[in-house]
Amino acid sequence: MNKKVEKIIIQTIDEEKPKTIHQLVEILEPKLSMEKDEIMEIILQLKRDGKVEYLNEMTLEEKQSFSSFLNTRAARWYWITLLLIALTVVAVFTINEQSIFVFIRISLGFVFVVVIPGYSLIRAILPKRFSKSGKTQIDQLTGFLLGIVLSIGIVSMVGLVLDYSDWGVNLNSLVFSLSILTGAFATIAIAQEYQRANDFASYS
Amino acid sequence: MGKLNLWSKTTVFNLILAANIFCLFYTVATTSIWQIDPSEFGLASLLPLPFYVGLFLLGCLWYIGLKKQFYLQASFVLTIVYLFVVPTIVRGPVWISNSYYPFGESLIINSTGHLRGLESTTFIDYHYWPLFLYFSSALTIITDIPHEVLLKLFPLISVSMYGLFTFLILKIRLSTQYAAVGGAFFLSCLFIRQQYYGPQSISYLFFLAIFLIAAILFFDEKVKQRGLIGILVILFLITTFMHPLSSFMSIILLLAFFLTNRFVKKESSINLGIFLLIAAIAWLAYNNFVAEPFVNTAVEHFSEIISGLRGLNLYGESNRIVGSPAMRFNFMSSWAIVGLAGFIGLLSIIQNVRKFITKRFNVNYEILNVMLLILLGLFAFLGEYGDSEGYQRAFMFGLVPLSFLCVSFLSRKPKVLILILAVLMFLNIPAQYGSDTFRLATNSQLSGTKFIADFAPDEVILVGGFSIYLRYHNPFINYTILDVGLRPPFREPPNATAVAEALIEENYIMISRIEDNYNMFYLGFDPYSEIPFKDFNRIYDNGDFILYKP
Repeated sequence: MNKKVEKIIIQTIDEEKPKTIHQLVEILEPKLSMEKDEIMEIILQLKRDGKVEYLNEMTLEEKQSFSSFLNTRAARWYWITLLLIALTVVAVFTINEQSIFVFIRISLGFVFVVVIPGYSLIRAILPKRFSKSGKTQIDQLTGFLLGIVLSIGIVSMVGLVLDYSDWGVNLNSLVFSLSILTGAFATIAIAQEYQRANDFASYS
Repeated sequence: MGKLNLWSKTTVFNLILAANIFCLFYTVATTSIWQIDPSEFGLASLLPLPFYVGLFLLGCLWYIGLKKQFYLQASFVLTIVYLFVVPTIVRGPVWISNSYYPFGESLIINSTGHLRGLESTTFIDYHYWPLFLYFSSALTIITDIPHEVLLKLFPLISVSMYGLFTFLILKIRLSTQYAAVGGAFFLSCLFIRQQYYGPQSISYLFFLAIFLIAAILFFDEKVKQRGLIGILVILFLITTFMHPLSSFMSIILLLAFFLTNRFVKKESSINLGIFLLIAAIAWLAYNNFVAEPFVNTAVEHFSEIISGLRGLNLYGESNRIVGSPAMRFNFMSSWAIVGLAGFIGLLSIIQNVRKFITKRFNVNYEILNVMLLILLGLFAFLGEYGDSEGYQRAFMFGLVPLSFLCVSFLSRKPKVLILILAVLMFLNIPAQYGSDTFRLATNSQLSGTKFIADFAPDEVILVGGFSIYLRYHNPFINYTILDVGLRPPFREPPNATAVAEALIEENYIMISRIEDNYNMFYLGFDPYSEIPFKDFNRIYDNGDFILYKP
């Protein structure tokens, strides 16, 4: 971390004695000419490293519980993902090739195989930052394309593992494995986002 | 006055856009192609005039819309639609027919639940690098999608993603507008038909994803590294299990990053060096232990080259015979694309090397692309892949850096840049679709090969081309296709008498309209014309596909 920035932060804490990290960021913004979420990252890193004693005592506004976080708009994608998984499971076991509704199975199945697994994994690996600007580590288009590529990879690897298992590659084993795996990635991602949402409570 | 100009530009753009879309609909509504006569220039001569008018208008849209985001988006989408979507819609059968052979192998998994334990018949069945087969199997099992729909439409998703990945890679250094032009430049140069549904097209996506992540890691300092490095490792491993050339090219790509970082940026590259070393060891270990016959064949092949027993295929290309006007047109347009992009790329390389030497500019990203092109150029001139496609693949993998260098070089002369883009779009049609006379998976070829797959005895010996559908219809059929000297690259015309003698001894002979078209394209004549087929037993005949037994 930039020593100069660190020094300015410590100096500001000593002089201004802000009550919350949010206040500290507001004071630092004009001094550092950096974006708020970047300043927040640096402060949280200092806090995690335990470098500034005063920071450890500072509170981060009111914390949300995990269940209340799941009811917020930020968790909507998680429920949509789970819903899509559930709908796909229903569609693949109830709609066959001859049905006039086969396009529903094709559409849902396509999203289930080619989009959702990688999308969830990307969110788990690169959790969305919570800030006023809504900035993420990579832009949406990059995340979407990488999600598709990773979906192809995940599905392929699941097939490889199933081939070497007694189950083999079939409809039941594929749907079961992909549902569990995608659900797990999504849950890890939402847990991380909850963690970050609390870290950035004053911004969300 | 400024407002009036802006209004005028908007109106002009909207008018051209409307005319362009009209041309698009006209083409789709009036054109339906199920097979192509050998006298045609592939699809290029069957597309109606409004298609080419639309293509011209698209060039105008690129020029007018260069400064507005919506216009850029519209032009980008229309480029994909004109170069790839419309040709797919107007042709009835699956294009290109190669999609059937890797797909056919994935049907083994659908029917038995397993691939392991099955013997590989050839390298191109991809049992040694099976990830695509698992993906394809999962996709068909879960969606129950009709095979023709999947084989026709999935390549459109792949090619659209190629364009978008290129846009993102270029956007790291260029402005949004020139990155978008770069994406279109890439698509216009992409004529080598590798986007068919198979491991090579999917793993090319992985290559581009690796390129993008590596570029973000090394040239975008705002991004945190840990998560992206994890994704990079996952992508490389999957590519290694999926396609040997793409993973090899990924190593070359990482080597270019390493060299740039170490010798141009002059930054510590220990971590990247270690990663590169591990990636190379992983690639070698996987291919040596899992795909041993592939490695043995490659070693044998290159030993023959080094000992002088065999020449590099590239240097025999100039001796190819030109059989038909369609082939001449197809080759000329292909080489025109390579020549045009290559020439501008070369000028850009010279300019950037001069800038680097004078040290007055920061050209790290440019030098990375130059470095990558040099490494791929070495592969093109000294490497071999398949019958004669090493240099084609090098061109394909080098298209992103080439597009970047060309667009950045011409970014100060947008008129010239857009003119060249428009020329490339026009050249793309005959270069990509000029040989369509034999590239469509026609119904007659499918039903003829289905008959063989269903009724021929196991380990049957066949003569004739376009047998790729056999294992699609019956993934367990073992067959041998006898080489009677009718496989490209043709450097001398086949001897009709020798062909006739070879045929008489064999079990079954497949004669089809597609194969006639193929021979007419490459040779300009039908080498089967002297064969007394009247004396043979006609086992099967659907009009365009006949099976004989001597």
